[in-house]
Amino acid sequence: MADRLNVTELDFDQIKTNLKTFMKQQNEFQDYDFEGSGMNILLDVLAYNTHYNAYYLNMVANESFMESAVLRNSVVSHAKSLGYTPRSAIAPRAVVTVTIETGSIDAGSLTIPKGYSFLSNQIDNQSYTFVTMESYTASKVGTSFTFNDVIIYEGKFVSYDFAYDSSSNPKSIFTIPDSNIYTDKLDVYVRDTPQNTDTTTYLLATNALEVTATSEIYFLQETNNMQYQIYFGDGVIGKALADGAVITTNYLLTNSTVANKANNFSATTLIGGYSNITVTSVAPAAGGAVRETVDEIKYGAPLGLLSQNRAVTKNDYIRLIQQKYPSFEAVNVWGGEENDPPVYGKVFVSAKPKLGFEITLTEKEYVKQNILKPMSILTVTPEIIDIDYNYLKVRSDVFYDKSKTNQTDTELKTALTTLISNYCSTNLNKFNTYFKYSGLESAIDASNKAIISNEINLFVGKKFRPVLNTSDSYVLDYGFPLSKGTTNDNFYSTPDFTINDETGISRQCFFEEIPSSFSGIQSITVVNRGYNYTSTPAIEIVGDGTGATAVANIVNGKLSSIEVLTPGIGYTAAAIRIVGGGGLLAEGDAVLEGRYGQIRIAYYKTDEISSQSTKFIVNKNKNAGVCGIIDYTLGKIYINDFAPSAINNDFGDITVHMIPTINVIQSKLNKMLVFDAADPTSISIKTHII
Amino acid sequence: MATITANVTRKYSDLDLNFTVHPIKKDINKNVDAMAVINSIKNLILTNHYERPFQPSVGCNVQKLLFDNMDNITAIAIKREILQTIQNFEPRVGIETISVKPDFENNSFSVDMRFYIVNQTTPVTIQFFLERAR
Repeated sequence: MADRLNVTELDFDQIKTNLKTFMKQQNEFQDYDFEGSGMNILLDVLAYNTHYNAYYLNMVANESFMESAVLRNSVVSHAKSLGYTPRSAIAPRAVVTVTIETGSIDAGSLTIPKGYSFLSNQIDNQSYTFVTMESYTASKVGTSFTFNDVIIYEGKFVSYDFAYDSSSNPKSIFTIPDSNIYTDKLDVYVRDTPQNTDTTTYLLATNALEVTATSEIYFLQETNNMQYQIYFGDGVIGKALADGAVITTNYLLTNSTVANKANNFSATTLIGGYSNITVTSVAPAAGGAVRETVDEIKYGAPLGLLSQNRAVTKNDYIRLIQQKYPSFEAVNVWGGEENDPPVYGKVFVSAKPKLGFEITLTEKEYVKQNILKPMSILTVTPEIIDIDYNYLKVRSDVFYDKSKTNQTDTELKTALTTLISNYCSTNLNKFNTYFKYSGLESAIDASNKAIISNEINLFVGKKFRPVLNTSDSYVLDYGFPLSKGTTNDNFYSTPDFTINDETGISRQCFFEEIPSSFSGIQSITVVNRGYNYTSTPAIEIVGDGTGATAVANIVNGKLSSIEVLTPGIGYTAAAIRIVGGGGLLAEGDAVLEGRYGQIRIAYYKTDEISSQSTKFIVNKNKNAGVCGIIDYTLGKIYINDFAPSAINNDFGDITVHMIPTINVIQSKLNKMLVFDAADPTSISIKTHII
Repeated sequence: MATITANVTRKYSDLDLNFTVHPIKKDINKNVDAMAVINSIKNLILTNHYERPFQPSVGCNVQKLLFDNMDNITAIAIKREILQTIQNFEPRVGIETISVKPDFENNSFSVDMRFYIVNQTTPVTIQFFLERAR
């Protein structure tokens, strides 16, 4: 009755149950069901053995495919067959200026050797060693040597020699005995015999098409125990090693991420016999990353094959940057033709770092020169631009039925704050995303049965960093239409800044929107000039307001301009009709007065006698204090001649908040909608009991 | 015609784990009835926890107790351990008496058990020594 024996189970207990079912069919040994019986022990052995084999076969099958493999060895091996070398750990990289004071004016030059080490400031009570990976030479100016832009990497500089013996190592494979090395900074030198002092530098093979029988190249691969192996050509693909050759490897043994952010360095030993060494940090350590994880390799290797190690499509760029520079949390890439106005022949890249919001100049330069340039198509220039952040703040009014919940008001607010924070963190802080009012409102409604309704108000903040004491103009581009407000209602700026008023006294000021009461037609722009006009046509303004009139100017049979005579009142939309005049096709567009708003700078002053606080406008006598314009339709704020003397903020930036008029806020190109969960003013909730 | 059905007591039969050979049939020997049950008890007592694959609860803690101080307290612990193991894993046995006595001379514990096999009227008495082997 073998048909009763199931063979589909893999689990020990199920296999044993199956065996017991099978044993029921015989009378010889009936005690199989009792734990202590000899038969039961025998079934244990059988079930264990079956389970063991099933597990083993399952593992073998899983490890045979990249998708299901779990062991790093297997994944790396599959990746190798796709021509993909997993990224090693990356050493943090800093830029410093080294000045050596000699005390003598004798001319000369000095070299900081490769492998010279610096000590960083303490990070979590630990100092880290940073080393140079190339030598730097400077000539003496005055009494000192100055080495500019010295690039230093965190890690220990190691030199390791291998002797090549063709009989014991016919494939010329050498395993580097350290695992956490930064392979980008691996240098390989070969001497044909131990006695020979001439060394040849071998380079990493990156493209098999360029390799000939005499190419001095080496290949790199990851081994079973996370170490790296180098191997050399066979005389057909790449130059073969001579028997007895000595291979010297120089590499960096790094602690990867831990030394990121180190920004203070000191020299460890004398340079050229001089001890008066000053090290100034130009760019703090950044870019350190751990080796590529199994999941990253599984994701990246097939994409690496697709992109064929070239940056051609948008995704090639994104993949390349994410693999080679994992310190970026999000990357967006677009062609210059998508810009407004279009910029042809350029690829734009914008990236958000994992720590903070801005990438440093040296990081930009490194990614551009070392990662993108070698892979991108000729004539296409990669350009890295900063992210244009829109900071989101959520104001929520929640209406709830007190009888349906046992939560206190505070508990409900805390729960909603967490909910909104999670919603925003999940949906924002990345490129090409959008924020929907309805999405968040439904999430709030669904979060608690007691909540009857809720209303969301969003403020979107734009930061700018003014140059202190210098009059300059600034443009804040929100990228979506803005809502008009009244003073201190929609529009606000934080923090206060110091500026001199018309009498020269410095005041703690803020920006405010001048309430606009205009609702007429401001101007009419000519969209199409038409033709064959023999007389002046009549201009009809059709809209929801009244009283607007305008007149057309015809020059050489074409409409040259339309002049508004009376702006009228009460318009929120208007269309222009051009009637008569004998011509055809002339068109015009009405620009409503309300399209533009104005901003001014104000401050509060406390009256010494009454202790009452009164608001004053800076430069009120000059153009009514107007210092900028808001274009509500295009979503831009232009601030003119702004010269603050101080900003009450550690970073020196001012945030201007506006309310969007649209319900879905999109972020495209280098725009990113971010939510700062660490900022306590990001969320405010008002509850209303019904 | 009426059929008379005799109510036959279930016969327990188990494999002899010593794999002794039947002298005539040249087949492997079977333990039957009381012998099968006694062997089962012996197996349970001599099995440690975590010894059987994937069944950590099956077994008895006697081996560890044998390395404790030899006194009446250990004897009581052994007795309780044996009793619990049989109650948990040997449903065929109803224990009547069990006594564990330290035998200081031989550095061992003498165990006396008297039990009934379920549905059988004859009591079974077994006596054995528990001695640490290493």
